[in-house]
Amino acid sequence: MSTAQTTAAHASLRSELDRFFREIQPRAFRMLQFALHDEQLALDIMQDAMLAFVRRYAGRPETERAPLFYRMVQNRLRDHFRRQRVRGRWLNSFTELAGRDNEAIHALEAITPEPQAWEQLDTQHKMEYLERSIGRLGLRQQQTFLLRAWEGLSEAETAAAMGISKGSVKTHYARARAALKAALGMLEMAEVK
Amino acid sequence: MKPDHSASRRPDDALDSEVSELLDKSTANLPASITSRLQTARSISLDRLANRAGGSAERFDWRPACAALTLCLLAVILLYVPDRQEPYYAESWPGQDEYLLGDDLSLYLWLSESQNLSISGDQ
Repeated sequence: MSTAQTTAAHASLRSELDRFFREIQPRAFRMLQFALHDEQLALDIMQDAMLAFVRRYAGRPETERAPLFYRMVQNRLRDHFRRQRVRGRWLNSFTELAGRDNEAIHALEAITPEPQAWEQLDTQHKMEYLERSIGRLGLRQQQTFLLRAWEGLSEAETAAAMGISKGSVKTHYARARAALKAALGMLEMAEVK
Repeated sequence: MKPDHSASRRPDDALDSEVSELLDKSTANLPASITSRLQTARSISLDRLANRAGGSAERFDWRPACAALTLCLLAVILLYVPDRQEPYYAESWPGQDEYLLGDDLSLYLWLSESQNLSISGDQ
């Protein structure tokens, strides 16, 4: 391949990646923010995932990029919580973060629906309430739900991104939906439909 | 714009649609400081891509150097490994001094004698 062709291919890849990152960055950042409750940490993990993605998967076809990128993000998220858990085990066995990755957290119990009906809330309040509800979900339920419902990944893609089986994706997704329905007071509405 | 995974995506329902819509709205209004950090992260990553591409173009090709080094090593081994010893064979044997008829004949005679054979073969 000549130098001119190499340069053109590189410029094209750069522009594709720029577009890809522009699209995916805000949602990936929000997902990290929901999981970590820490803006700076979310940005750091995001940066690290982007660098790793560019180093390893920059040349992958467009259709494979989103699941691979989220895999990078999820790996870093898992590593973060693992480190926190190890640290927490030494410092305090009952730290809040130590329990974040534990699927024994019963999201349904954690979310207590507020008395006000969902339909009566304005958009701003709905957004705040929704974010709070998503933030309270167990980590895997939360990330599975966001990847499936918001990012639009398929079950297989979500499973690959999270490093779990398709069966687990189904379970986490269903539980997250049930928890959110209960939290948002949409249970009756969905059943009526 | 979100990637189109509609072929494999689970059919939308009220909850997914509403949640997606609300999250899209809240994400569209990220604070300027966050947007700026995301922009920086993007630039750094894309610069890394450029460095990687530039690096691969100018990267030294080690293969010929490795081949030459291997050949040199082989030459050194062949030149400096001590000469192999000549294969051992008996230069003398018991009774050699009694037979001075020449190496082959004296050996034959010695062998014949040691095995009680006659040179004429009449026994």
